[in-house]
Amino acid sequence: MDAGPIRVASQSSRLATGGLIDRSRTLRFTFDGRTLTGHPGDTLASALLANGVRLVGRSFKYHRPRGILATGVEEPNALMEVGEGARRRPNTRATVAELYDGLTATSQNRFPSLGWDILSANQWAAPLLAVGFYYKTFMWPRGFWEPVYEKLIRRAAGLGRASVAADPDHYESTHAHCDVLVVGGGPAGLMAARAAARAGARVILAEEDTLLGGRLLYDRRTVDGQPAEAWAAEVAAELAAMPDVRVLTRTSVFGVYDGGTYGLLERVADHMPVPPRYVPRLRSWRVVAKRCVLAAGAIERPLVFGGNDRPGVMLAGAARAYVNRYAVRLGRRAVVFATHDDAAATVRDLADAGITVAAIVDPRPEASDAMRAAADASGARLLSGSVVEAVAGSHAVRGVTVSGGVKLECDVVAMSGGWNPSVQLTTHLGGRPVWDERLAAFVPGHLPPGLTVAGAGGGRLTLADSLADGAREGAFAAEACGLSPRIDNGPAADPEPADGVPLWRVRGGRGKAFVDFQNDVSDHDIDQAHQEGFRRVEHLKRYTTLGMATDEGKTANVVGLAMMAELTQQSIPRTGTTTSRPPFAPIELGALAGHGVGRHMKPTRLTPTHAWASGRGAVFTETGLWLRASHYPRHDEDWLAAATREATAVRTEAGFCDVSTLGKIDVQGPDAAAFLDRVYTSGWRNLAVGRVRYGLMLREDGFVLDDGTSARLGPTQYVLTTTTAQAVRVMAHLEHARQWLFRDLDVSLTSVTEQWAQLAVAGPRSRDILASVLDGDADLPFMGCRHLTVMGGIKARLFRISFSGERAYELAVPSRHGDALAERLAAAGATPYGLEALNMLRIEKGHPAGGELNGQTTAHDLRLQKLLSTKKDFIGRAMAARPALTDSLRQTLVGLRPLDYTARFDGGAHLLPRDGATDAAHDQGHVTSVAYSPALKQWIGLGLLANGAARTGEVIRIADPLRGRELLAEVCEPVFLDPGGERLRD
Amino acid sequence: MTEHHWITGHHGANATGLYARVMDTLGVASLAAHLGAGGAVTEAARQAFGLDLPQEPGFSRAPGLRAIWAGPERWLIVAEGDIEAALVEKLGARATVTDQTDARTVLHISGPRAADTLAKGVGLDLHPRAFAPGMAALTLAADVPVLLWQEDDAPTYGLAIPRSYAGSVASWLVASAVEYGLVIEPAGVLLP
Repeated sequence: MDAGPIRVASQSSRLATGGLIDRSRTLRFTFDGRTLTGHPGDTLASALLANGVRLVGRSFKYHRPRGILATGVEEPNALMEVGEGARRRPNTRATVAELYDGLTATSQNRFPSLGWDILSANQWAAPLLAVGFYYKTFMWPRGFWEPVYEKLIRRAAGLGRASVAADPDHYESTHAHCDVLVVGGGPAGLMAARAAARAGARVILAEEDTLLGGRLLYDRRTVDGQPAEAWAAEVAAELAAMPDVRVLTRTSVFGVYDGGTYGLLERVADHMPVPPRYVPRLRSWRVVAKRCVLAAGAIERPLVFGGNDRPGVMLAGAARAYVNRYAVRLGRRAVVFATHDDAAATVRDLADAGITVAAIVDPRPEASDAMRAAADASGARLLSGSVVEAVAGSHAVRGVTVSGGVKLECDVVAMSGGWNPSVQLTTHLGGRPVWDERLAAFVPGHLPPGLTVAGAGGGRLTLADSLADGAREGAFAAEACGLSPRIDNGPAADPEPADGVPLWRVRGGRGKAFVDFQNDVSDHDIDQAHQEGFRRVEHLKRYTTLGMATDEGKTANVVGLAMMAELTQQSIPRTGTTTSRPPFAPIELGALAGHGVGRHMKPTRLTPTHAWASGRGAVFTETGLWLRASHYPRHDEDWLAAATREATAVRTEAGFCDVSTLGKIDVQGPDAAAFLDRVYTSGWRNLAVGRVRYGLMLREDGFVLDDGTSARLGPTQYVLTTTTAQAVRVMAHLEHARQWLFRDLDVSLTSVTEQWAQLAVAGPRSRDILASVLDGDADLPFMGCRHLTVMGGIKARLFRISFSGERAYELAVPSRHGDALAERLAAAGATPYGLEALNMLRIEKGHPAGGELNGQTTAHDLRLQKLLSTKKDFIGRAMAARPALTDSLRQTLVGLRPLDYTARFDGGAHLLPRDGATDAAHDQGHVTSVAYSPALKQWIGLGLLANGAARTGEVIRIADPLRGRELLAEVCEPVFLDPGGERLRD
Repeated sequence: MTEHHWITGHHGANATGLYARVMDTLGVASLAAHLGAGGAVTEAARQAFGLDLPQEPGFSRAPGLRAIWAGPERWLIVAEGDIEAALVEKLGARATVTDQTDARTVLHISGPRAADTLAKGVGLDLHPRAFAPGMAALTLAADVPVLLWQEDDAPTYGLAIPRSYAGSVASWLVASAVEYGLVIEPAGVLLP
């Protein structure tokens, strides 16, 4: 596929000498399939320019041909897909992508090719695509919006294509702490870092670029009598040698957060085709800094004139940067269109590189000394009081028309509307920048705590000011950390002119004039927003999408805002300010997730029998963080067949199940009984040693918190159990009670959930099975407990309690023995059962669990009101007595049996009267738990039903509109099996 | 992404930034003074074990024995071998002793990149000016609640991890250290 209008010889536009590139090595890369070359030190953008490639992309809405505008993160045009296959990364800014050997870049948003793009016809249809066109053009028919229009718009207004393959790379997130974080490694940042570090501060210096120096790398300047880049290298070397300084290059600070926390993104391996083994591609840093010096520099403003987006029009600072740092011959003839004296350096540098500067077009009526000198030295015509009115050329600039109809031939237009301090990070915590009339720019206003600004980012645009600022702010930051810095003014720098007056737009020109290049917002769009009343900056932004592209309007926002201020004839501060939110520039989510992806997204807790169960072929299920055995399929059993077999084994023979995930809390001390008496609803003072009791805990507000058994293992030793889901909350609740409510009680609480592997052994043969592992006998009455040893001297705790309704025990051994105990029980003939069978057994017995203990149920609702003691106080007693909590019409626990014995239903289905509409008005409750009952040979459920306790025998309707099911069921007592509990006892 | 496993030997880059080992011979017990008995328990521990129970976050040591502050008048005792019985015998009259040997997996990690590795999942400042031998903290490592302490200025860190989470922490630790290279040492070296 042909990629450009002109075929170019490799590096045809590279200057013979100069630049911070390593000419001894040649790197090959491709752009739209064409092989080109560059050198280490190049960015993708500089390498493209060095190869004479000017057309690099198509714009978002109008598919206009676009070239490179800038050198850094602010670039709105040169967005590309970089890499291939699973590593294809869309919307990569060519200006910050380092060149590497084998890099493949593909232009975006064009079809069939960059040079000939069908949708560029959009620019002739611009009246239809004007601001707000989504809302206007695609109004009718309404039903077309989602199925037709949105799809068309999305297809047309594409950004790059994300790879849909799994990401093969590793990402990392990490923490760091320091005294002083310095954001930006330009002149101010280098001075700040050095001043703080010399004072002994722990310093982190973050710089987006590969090298330290900032604009010193782009401009031909002198610092301390040396060439600026040599001075920067010297300071970099000093910093690198200091043990408490961490210099992070290729690292951007993307956010400022509370408590002196900063988000950083380090591109560890983006400059390589594939990250080296074991090296993450990206690393996010969460830095906590006592102080921060923001030395983020400034971003140049484009000028708004017809054709200002044509390839070959670029920012004046960028133009000289490409010449100086990357040794790119940008063209043959340049026109410099600037309202600011800083562009005089561009005139000089272009001319020195052999590029003819045809003219300096300066809207200011009086020529400044700097511009006059630049014109004299370069031989350029100086056209004061002039503007560029039109640009000739579509895929590349061929010339310009300036005021008075003068036509100038050129292939480069370097423009400057002055500079905007990079204030973005100062606004992340809500600070608003303030307008500086003298600079005609926003400067930082209210700063985040602990953060100060140095250099151009604070509106101190000259090099000498930046160096002095940095030295001072670095020292102050160190001082604020309790250190004693030496204060100096920083090194001397060569002087520079810094005068300018803003020109927000060129009126009366020809062709589209863009404000926001990435989102294709033109000067006329701003006019239209004004006409239609969208005049506040927030309205302007949302109506026109100004500043809402991935570049966040770094080159656009201030200009657009100033244009609106002109239209409304209000001051810029009255029109609004520009604020930004994190991230400063797009960041990859993978870098934030780090190791926490896939199954590492959250920690996984493994039970003490996990290894054994894995070996046995168990299927696991997540319950909270725990991974528990769901069932143990044999041959080709599905889960239902396996669980039915397992549950049947418990009812007829014996089974065992790992219940270690239930919370276990040792409650010890002389006042342990008194403590339990206050946290449980029933009385505990009379529980004998060696006995277990079921208990219910309420929250302070009277609702049920949790249930479980507690066992008295010794005179002052109890072990309390919680449900798996509430283990952590109950521990916190009890500690609150102990440490705050009942400080007089001498009791200690220790979580022993992790210490004990606890296995339920249940079924008619459970006693025989147990006998095979106990060192002594298994004699224990129902609801009894004791210490003993198993498997040859291993200390253990035995409880005779039952969740299944069968004769059952729970045996606890130190966790390391969990696997061995499971193996012994299986060898003795017990069937391992998982969570599914456990659920069948407990629903058959009507025991409440997570679905019923849902934080909204009371003891009455669960029909456990007999557990509410009237003879003592307990947490939640007073609030539980509120009338609304004991209202008989509340939804209470019921059993549910479908009339059709073959019918299946699901949790979450609604309960309604037998007759009547299926709507919210008739809703009387919901199904909380459902299981197939092997004992009843049908699906049964538990539910919460209005006045349920009084409705036993009534036929109601179970409606499940979500799954499209409806059936009739009989309300029954929640205990389906052995209501008298005969099977539990001897 | 690559899955990493806890297997004895060298992992990752061709260097050794980190050494890690499971201290599986240690006994662990929690010790909680009875109401108002903190001073007496501290005194009794000094006499019986030559151990100064720390009164604020940190840990103290005696040969083969560590006492890590775990709350007001509450400590985690880490010792070579079984410690529960001895603690009950010497301190049981004034304190509650609960065996936690099987509840915690104790790791020792050391080496030039130990702090950098930990930083990938621990939010604490581990710079020598902020965290030094003798200091301990209850914190999170890879979102898991752990007790972290610094043994020496090698630096060597101790990490007591709830047993059920040990696999998750180990996976994170290996994934975080392969960049520097790590050696997982055979378990079972005695506490210095």
